[in-house]
Amino acid sequence: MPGGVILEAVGLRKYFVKGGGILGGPRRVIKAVDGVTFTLRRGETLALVGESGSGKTTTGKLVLRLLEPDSGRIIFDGEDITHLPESKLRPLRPRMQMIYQDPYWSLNPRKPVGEAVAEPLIVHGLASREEARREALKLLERVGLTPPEDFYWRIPAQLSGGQRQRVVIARAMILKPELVVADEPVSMIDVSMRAEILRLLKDFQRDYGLAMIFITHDLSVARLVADRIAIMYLGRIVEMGPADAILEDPRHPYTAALITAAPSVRLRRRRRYEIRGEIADPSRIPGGCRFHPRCPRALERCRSEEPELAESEPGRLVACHNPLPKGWLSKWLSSGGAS
Amino acid sequence: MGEPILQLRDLRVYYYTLLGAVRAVDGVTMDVGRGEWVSIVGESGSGKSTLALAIMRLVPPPGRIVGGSILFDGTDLTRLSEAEMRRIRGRRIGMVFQDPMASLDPVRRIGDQIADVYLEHGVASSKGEAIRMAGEALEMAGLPRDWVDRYPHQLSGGQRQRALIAAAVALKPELLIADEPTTALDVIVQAKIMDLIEGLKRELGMTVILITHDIALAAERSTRIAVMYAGKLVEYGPVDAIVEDPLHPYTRGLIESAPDLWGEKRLRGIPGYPPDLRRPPSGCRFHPRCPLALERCRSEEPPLVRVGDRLVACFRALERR
Ligand SMILES: Nc1ncnc2c1ncn2[C@@H]1O[C@H](COP(=O)(O)OP(=O)(O)OP(=O)(O)O)[C@@H](O)[C@H]1O
Ligand SMILES: Nc1ncnc2c1ncn2[C@@H]1O[C@H](COP(=O)(O)OP(=O)(O)OP(=O)(O)O)[C@@H](O)[C@H]1O
Ligand code: SF4
Ligand SMILES: [Mg+2]
Ligand SMILES: [Mg+2]
Repeated sequence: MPGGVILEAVGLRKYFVKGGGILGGPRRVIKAVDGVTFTLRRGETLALVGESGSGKTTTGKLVLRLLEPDSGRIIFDGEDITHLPESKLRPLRPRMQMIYQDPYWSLNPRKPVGEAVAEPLIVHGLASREEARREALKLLERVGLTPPEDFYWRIPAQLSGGQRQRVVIARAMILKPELVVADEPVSMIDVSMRAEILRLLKDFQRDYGLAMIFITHDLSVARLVADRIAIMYLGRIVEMGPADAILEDPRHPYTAALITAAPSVRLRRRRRYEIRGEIADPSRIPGGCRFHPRCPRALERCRSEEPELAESEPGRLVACHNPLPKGWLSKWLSSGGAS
Repeated sequence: MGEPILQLRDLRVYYYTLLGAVRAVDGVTMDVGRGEWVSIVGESGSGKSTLALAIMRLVPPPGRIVGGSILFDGTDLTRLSEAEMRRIRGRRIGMVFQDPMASLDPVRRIGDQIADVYLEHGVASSKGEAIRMAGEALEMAGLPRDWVDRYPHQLSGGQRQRALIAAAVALKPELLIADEPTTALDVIVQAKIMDLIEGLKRELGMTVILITHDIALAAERSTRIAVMYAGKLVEYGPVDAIVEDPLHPYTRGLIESAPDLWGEKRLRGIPGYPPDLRRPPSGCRFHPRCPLALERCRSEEPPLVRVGDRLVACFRALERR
């Protein structure tokens, strides 16, 4: 069960500038994260869901201070860490970890995986080499790489994709972190092997009471792991709330489009809520509501005025001038139509 | 199902690596009816792309078709010369390859690349005519005609996929093979690309073979689903039968593992890992992961047997016959 607040992100912004230098090319400002605010409690999982390029990974890196925000604040366990210098951040680093999407790139190809798991303890001066090895063996066993003595000296190429992802998880968890950003941890893994990886993350979460930001483009995965879901679009959260509430009764038109487009074995013949075109280039974000050029419900006002992320009902937030009415989705699905 | 347009008989495709032969496709027998949409599903490394490449006779070395036949409209493609095969590729069988960046040349305009198809097959007599036809193909795929002048990097992922589909259907083939055409795309774009394929299928009266690891995607669009595991066809049948009452334990596992917004809220998977195809398990290749395995499954290979309107390769499934 969620406990006290461990993380607050307030108005985070991160722009990348491309081109315009000596290498030429037009100067473009990519607004990767453009005003993101949320809080996270201990033991809670918040899923960041959105299409490619919506700013999920950048948000995850910002809150862990792996990237410098241009503006906004990051409060970790009550302390404002937005501008902490690296020397002051160092003691906090073991408490916050990132798990990357691609287990191929996040491991050194020449290092035995057991050593990779032990390493963070040594780097952070939390254990001697001997202690770290013993602890790493325990973690390997814990993530199902048994017998651990056998796996310890293997290099990543001698493991399958699913096994490598277990190594990456063991490496993050050996520090008993309080906050983990898991960036698409199962999207490169075959569907039959995903459940075990997700269960592993949930087990660690329960044991350590850790708070997790779970990044995914897949709503159906978010549904299985998240307490709350935040839907991102072009660098902003457009809707946020309890996972079930969002999925059963979306308010934002974009959320509705995502939900009804998700392939399903159980509801094969459903009507999709169609939106126009594709996600815009984040260096050319439309004015007003950034979703308005694609939105079937856009009003005149949506072209000029950016909607704030505001409470629509207790615990739920939506950034939309013309949100879908309560109960819209079940009506849409049962009548097969009419917005 | 109409008369078969494609009949695979005991097809075997192996890659001869230094560490031994990878039995990527190992005795696949199946028919695809004219006008059908068949989806081939299975996880990474199960041999889906190899099967598709074999039909096109484009298996890269060290791979080779080592046995069996591929009857396309009655002709065994494995026996054709390369010159004869070139008249079938593109013209009668179109293909969208798995890696879109690898199949578009980054330094050539989209229009020129589609025009190649017309010029190679002598359908257009001049470059100008070929480019004009390329514009029409783009339009058919939902892109503006004048995008013939664009380069691949100027297109989004979804638009590139449209351009590739335009090139694949340029000569109005009878059969379109699309290998994971939407894997790198988000769900909203994915749905639109699937609509496009569905529309073209209807318009051109094509047969479609979709290759995907996503059984839900397959279930929404196909007439039949073929399930591959470790180089073998393990189950093949009409969509409703496959997803509502899977006979093979792997098919069942795959469906239960697929997270579904409208399914049970429960984490399910299949224990273990898929095998190394250089040393596949004895007996049934799925037996080390199978919850229903019997002693017999370890030693004896289950044959692909007809059960009602389905084919299935599982001893336990046969008990239900
Ligand atoms: N270091 C960088 N330099 C320039 N642009 C960047 C950089 N990192 C990210 N971007 C851009 O910022 C935007 C948001 O990227 P981000 O990786 O956060 O998105 P995402 O939601 O994680 O997408 P995906 O689902 O594809 O991983 C994208 O347009 C991306 O190209
Ligand atoms: N060029 C090659 N050389 C050696 N082995 C290969 C080659 N191409 C594929 N293989 C092997 O053949 C088997 C089948 O591969 P294939 O690409 O057909 O699978 P797939 O089902 O398409 O997988 P995916 O879903 O990852 O695309 C795998 O074990 C793969 O490693
Ligand atoms: S604010 Fe307007 S344009 Fe934006 S999502 Fe809501 S209705 Fe659509
Ligand atoms: Mg990302
Ligand atoms: Mg493939």
